[in-house]
Order: sequence, then C-alpha cells, then structure tokens
Amino acid sequence: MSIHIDAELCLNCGLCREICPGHIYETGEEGRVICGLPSDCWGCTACLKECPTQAIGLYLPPEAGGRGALMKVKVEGHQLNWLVTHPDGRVETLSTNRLLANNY
Amino acid sequence: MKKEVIKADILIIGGGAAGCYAAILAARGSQAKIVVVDKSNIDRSGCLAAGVNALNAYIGPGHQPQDYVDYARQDAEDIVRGDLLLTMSERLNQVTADVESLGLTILKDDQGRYIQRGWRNVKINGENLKPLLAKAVRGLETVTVLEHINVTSLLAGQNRIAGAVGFGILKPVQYIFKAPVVICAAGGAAGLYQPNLGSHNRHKMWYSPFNTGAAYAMGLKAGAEMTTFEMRFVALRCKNTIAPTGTLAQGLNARQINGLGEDYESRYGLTTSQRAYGTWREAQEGRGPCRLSAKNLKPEQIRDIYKAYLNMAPGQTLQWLEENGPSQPQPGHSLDLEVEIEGTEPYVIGGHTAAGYWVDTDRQSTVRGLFAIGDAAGGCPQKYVSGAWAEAAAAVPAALYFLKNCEPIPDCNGQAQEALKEAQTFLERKKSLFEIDALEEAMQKIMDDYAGGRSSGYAYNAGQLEKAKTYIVDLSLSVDENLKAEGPRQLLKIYELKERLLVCRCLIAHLSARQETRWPGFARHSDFPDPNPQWRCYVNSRLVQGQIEIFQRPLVKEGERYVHSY
Repeated sequence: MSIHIDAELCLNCGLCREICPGHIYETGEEGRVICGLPSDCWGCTACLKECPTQAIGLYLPPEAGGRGALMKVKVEGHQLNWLVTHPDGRVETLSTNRLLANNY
Repeated sequence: MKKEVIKADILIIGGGAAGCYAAILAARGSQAKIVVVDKSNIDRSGCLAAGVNALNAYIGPGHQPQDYVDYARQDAEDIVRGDLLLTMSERLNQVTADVESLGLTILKDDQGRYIQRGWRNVKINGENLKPLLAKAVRGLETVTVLEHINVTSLLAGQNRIAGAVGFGILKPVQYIFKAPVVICAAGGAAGLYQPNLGSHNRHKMWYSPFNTGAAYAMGLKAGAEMTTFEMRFVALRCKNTIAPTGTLAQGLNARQINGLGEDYESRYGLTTSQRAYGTWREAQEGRGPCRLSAKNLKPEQIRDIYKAYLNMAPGQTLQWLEENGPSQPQPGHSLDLEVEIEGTEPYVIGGHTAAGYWVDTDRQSTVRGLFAIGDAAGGCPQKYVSGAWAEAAAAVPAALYFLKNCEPIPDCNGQAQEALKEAQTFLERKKSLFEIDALEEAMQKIMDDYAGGRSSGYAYNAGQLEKAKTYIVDLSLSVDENLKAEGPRQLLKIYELKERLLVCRCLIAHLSARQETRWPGFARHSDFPDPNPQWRCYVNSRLVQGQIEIFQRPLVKEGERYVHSY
C-alpha cells in the first residue's frame, strides 16, 4: 500500500473515489470512503490532487525503497505545492506550476 | 441487472489521450452524435494519469517526416508499417500545435520557438494533460462522456461493427451501445507477466496497471486481425519506482554505467531493444548494479529534475528526497544524480512497439467500421502521446466518410444477450473456488516461467511456449468455471483477467511463430538466437473458432496505400 488517509482530515466527500483510475476507493461500513484495494494503487497521485483537505498522502513502502516519508500536494490555481514530511519531522516543499514546462 | 441501450453515430472506446483527441476532431468535423466511454474518469484515465513531461514524437527544424519513419524503422529492425509511420509523422507538428491551443504548456525560447530535446522531443508540462483534454471533450455539445463503464466486447456481424457491450463498475447496469462506427482507443496490456515488485507493490509499474489488454481482447473476439504481438516492450526504468528514464538520459545526457563504473552504453547498440538487452546482460554477467549517472550538476538542475518528475512520476521525486536529501543541496552535498535502472516486465503496447490491430492506412481494422488508434493500433511504433493524436487525425476523416456512406448496422441483439448471460453467470455463481488475484498471479507466473518473463531473462524456447499455452488455456477455463463476482467491482476484475489471458494466448502464438531473435532486449527465442532475413515480414493473427490462427504478411512501405481485401 502506498496511500495513507488521515481520517481526521477526511470530509468523506468521495472525490477520491470518483477520480481514481483503478477504483481502489469504496464506501465502507458506516458510509465512510475507504481505500479498499490498497495493493491496486498505481501511485499516480490523482486522488492527492483532488482531495480538498490534503487528507491523502503517498508513501513508498520499504520494499520499494521507502524510508517513511509522506508526500502530499495542495493545488492552488496553476500552482501545485508538494509537501514531503520525513519521519524525523523535517518538512520539504517543492512547488511546480502548470504554466512552466520541464527544462530537461 | 438493469439494461441501458445507448445509440451513437460514433462510439469511442477509451478516453485516454488518443480517444479524447479523436472525440475533439470528430466533433469539429461533423454533427455526428459521439459517445466516449471510459473505464474510469477521463480526467485521469489511461497511461497519462500522473502526467508526462515531454512529447517524444515531433519533427524538429531541419528534419522531415521521413526522418522519423527511418528512425522508427531502424529502432524496430524493419518490422514497421511505412504507410502508418509516414501518415503519423506528417501530422505530428500540427496536432502538437493544436493541443497547445487547448492549453498545453510547451517550453519555448524568446522568439516563441519550441525548445527541443534532440530533434524528436519537445519539453512540456503535461501534469494536467489529461484534465486539459477532458475539459475540451466535456465542452463539446455533440459529445457525451460515459464513465466507470467497462466495455467487455464489441458487437459485430458479417465482419461489420455494430457497437459494443459494457458493464457499470460503480453500479450493476449492462450498457448496450449501438453505433455504425466504433473507434477503439483503449490501452495496451500491462500485468501479463510478474511485475518488477511483488505482493502489495505489484502495481508499481511504468505502464498503467489498469490497461489490461481490453482493446486487443475485444478485437480478437470480434474477429479482428492483430499484428506483431511478439514485439513486446521491455522498458528501461528506475529501479523500485519504475519511473521513466528519458528525462535523465536525454535531458541531462546521463550515461549508462555498470557496477564497475564502466560506461556500457555503446557496447550493445543504441536501439531501444539493445539498450534494454545491454542492461540485462551487464547485470546477468555480474557487473551490476546498472545505473544512469549524471555528474557535476548545478543545484538548480537537481531541483528542476525533481520537479520534472513530479509532473510525471512523483514517486521517483519522493525516492530521491528520501535517499539523496533535499532538492536544494547544501554546500558539501553531492551534485551527482544517479538512479539504478532495470528492465520491466514485458508489455504489449502499440504506442511503443508495433503490436496491435492490423489496420489499413486510414486506421480501419479488418472489421468494417471499426477503427483503432493509439496503443490499440499496431504497425506504428514510437508513436507515444503525440503520435496517438496524429493517428486520431488520420482516422477521424476516414471514420466520418465511412459514417456517411455506410449501410445500416446488423442486428446483434443475440450477442448482447450472450454477454449479459456470461456476466450474470459470474455474479450468480454461489461461491468462488479461487480468489481472482490468485488466478492473476498464477497467470503471471506461467508467463514469467515459460514465455520469457524477467525471471527467465526474457528468453523462451518452443517447449516452454507449448507448456505456457497449455497452462494458460487451462487457467482460462478455470476462470470461466470457478470465479464468482461479488458485485460490479469484482466483475471488472474478472473481465480484466479474462482480457489478459486472451492476450497471453495470442502473445504465446506470436512468440512461437517468429522463429528468430530480432529484438534481443524484448524477446529472445533460445532455439533461434539470431535474426533471420526470412522473417522480414509481419506475424499476424486472428481468433477463429476459439483458436489463434497465425499467418505472415509482407512488409508495407511508405507511399503505399494499404487497403484490406475483405
């Protein structure tokens, strides 16, 4: 699994379920949207971009080289603010802009 | 199960890059009623869900479309359709400019000229390429977009298309599409073989794991001819994240280095297949790990590369941040960027190699009224994203012409009824003897062990392929006789497995047929380890009464106009 949902931030709006190309989200017991098929996640981050409260984070499992960092993204107009929180609490932000092309 | 009948003039199956652009062109060029049907939400469906940071097919200044044909032909060791490559290449720049007008960001110099990466690539921000295309499609009055529907089969009679059948993924509804023209723009096939990572990381693959070969399977079932499945695609990718490597190789001129620090890049040749082969062989002979290495970068270059990957494969940026430290290196930090690289599982994919539907020069398949574009269409490798748009541009005028002049569609109500019966068998069965995932893993293991997967060094022999065929046929029967679907989501999984199994059967037949080794990085026939000029021809196939029939066709050159003899 490489998706982590922060239940306290989740509004249960269902946008993740609507956008996920792999249909990994579903409505679970008590009507909560849950990630029912975590091993089907491709890591495309479509749900991270869609989530209005940044409740969803992407991480790399240890077998895929992960060391515990969690990536989130907040879309503000053309700008995407990517936030990576390391296990020691360090936070790094990288911003990309849809109006700026790849230089390489 | 509820039933809905949907009538259209043109049905487009698959709302990825190719399908969306085909819808835009068809709506511009006609008043036809167009329906786009997709397995998920077209904002993020297909292989560009995370984005892409370059268009790899473009004709730069000083070059001609013929140069692209020559390049692709050399890369595929001659097994290409010249007519398809040329008609694609001639349209690349026009479709790129058109999509730019829809909002795509392309890197330009002060004078407004594209800044290129080599003569064939332009650099973009394609993170929102799918949302841009989807927005354009949704804004068209004559286009209806239907999402979360899995199309399982085509409707066709007397070798003439009549529509398609699909099932809802979020709700139990059978959809019957009736259309005189169908454009199949669904994706290629991933997950046929054991992926690079196992268990709960199994979907960490380069190509979309949700592209399960539906296009090919529905075509085969409808009697359409296929070509060149045996030219599998093995991609050279970043270890663990399986992210693309072109940004490093072409954007930073990173070199391929083995574990001894030797640059092995030119040791095996420079075609796509040879690069994959070289990396495999270096590791095989104990000189791993192989890496892509860019030395002495500036801090801002490292930051830009991290950003470039966020717009395409964000997991790779996350890995760098975890492994290498911050994107703005502090004094004393290394300014080298290295990634371990490895070959992927073999994919069947018409956008990179020549596998797919056998089409005429207008992209019409051997089933009249059924067109194929993008990853679905064969014979035209190295098309990538812009080439898929170019194929839409080539196919749509022909599809509209066909629509104007065609006879009424045959009655296929019986076929729709059969499809419903099959789905209901899965839904109404009392219990499953196996888990669906367990049978998927069994398929991947058979393919890996006996049909040249990663664990077999991409090699196979006639005896192994025979075993693969037997086991895959047995497994297909087991799926039909034993699996139960607990609702529409599991029905989707069963159909995805069925699609993959049929593609596997066809692929095994193609691998057996081509008695030579032409693309050593993609597929090596151990009984015939060298290329053989006798095989300068296409290997084509059809499903006839449940059996894959294989036959050869002579090469088609550019300048020829290929038409089917129905």
